[in-house]
Amino acid sequence: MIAAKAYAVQSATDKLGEWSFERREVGPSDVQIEILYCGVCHSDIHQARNEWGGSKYPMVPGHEIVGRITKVGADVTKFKEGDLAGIGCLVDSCHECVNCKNG
Amino acid sequence: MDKVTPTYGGYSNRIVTTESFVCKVSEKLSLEGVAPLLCAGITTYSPLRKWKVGKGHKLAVLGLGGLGHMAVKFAVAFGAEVTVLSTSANKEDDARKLGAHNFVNTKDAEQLKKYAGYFDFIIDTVSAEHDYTMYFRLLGINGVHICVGLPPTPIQFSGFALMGGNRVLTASSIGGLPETQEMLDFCAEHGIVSDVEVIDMAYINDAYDRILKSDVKYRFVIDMATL
Repeated sequence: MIAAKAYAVQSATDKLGEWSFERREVGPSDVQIEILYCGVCHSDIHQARNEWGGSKYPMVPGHEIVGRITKVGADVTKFKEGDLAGIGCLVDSCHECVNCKNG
Repeated sequence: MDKVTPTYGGYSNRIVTTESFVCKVSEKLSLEGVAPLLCAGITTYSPLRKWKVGKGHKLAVLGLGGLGHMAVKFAVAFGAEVTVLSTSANKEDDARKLGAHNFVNTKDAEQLKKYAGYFDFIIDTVSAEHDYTMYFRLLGINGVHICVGLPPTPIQFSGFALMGGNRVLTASSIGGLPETQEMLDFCAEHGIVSDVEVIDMAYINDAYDRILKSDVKYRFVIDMATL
C-alpha cells in the first residue's frame, strides 16, 4: 500500500482535519498521481455533512483533481510518468451498465 | 475497486486510479484554473453541447457562481448572445468582465418585463429555492430551461407557464468521460480556465463558510503543496 495524507471529515458534524491513510498499490491498469491542485465544490460540503444521505466516513472530499503522473502500471497506454492528468467526479464506475455504456 | 474500500478524494497529496478514469491535461493552461473544469466546467459544457447552443442563440445564465461563470465563458466561446440573470445588481461588472453581453437584475420588474419571451435557453445554476415560473416566462417559443443546480426541496412551478410556448424543462448531471476530455481539449485550444482563489489546505473550513455565503470569485482551489 502507498502512504498518503489528506484532510478528512470523521463524521457529518466534524470539521475537516489532517488524516493519514493508504492508497492501493498501482495495478497493471492504474496510474499514480501526485496531486497539485484540487477545486472545492459546493457538493463537497453536502457530502461531508451528509446532506444528501449515504455519506461514508472517514471521508476525503474533492473531485476537481489535477496533478502529475508519478507511476504507471504495466498495461497503461494513455499516460507516461511526468504527464499532467485530471480526475473528476467519475472513478471506478462499472463499465457494464446502461449509464456507463452511454458515456 | 475491491467494492469495499471507499474511494478517497482529492484533498490529498496523491491518488491511485485506473487510467480509464483519468483525463489528459494540457501544459498550456494554468493548472489551478484547470482543476474546477473537472466538475464546474463539464457540468456546464455538457448541456450546452447537448442542446447545440451557439451562434444565433440567446442564452441566459441564471446565477453567477462556480457553475455560472463557466457557463458564461463556454456560451460566449460557442458564439451565443449571453445574458446573466442575477438577484445581485452589483454583479453586472463581473458578468461583463467574463464576457456576458447583457445583465438583468431579476429583482427589477421593469428589466424582467423587457426580457419576457426573449431567450432560447436558460441554464439554471442556482441550488437555492427559486421561482421557476418567473424564469419560464423569459423563454420564447420552444425555449429550454436547463437545470444544473440542485435545490434542496422539490421544485414547484406553474404548468401553464411551461406549456405555454411549448417550453422544455430539462436537467443535466455532470458529463461523461469522453466529453470531459473533449471539454479539456476545447479549453486548451481556446485558453479557457476557471477564475479561482488559491488557498492553503488549512484554510478549508473557512473556505466552506465562505462558499455558504457565496463569498468567492468563483472557485476555491487548494494548493496541495500546502498539505
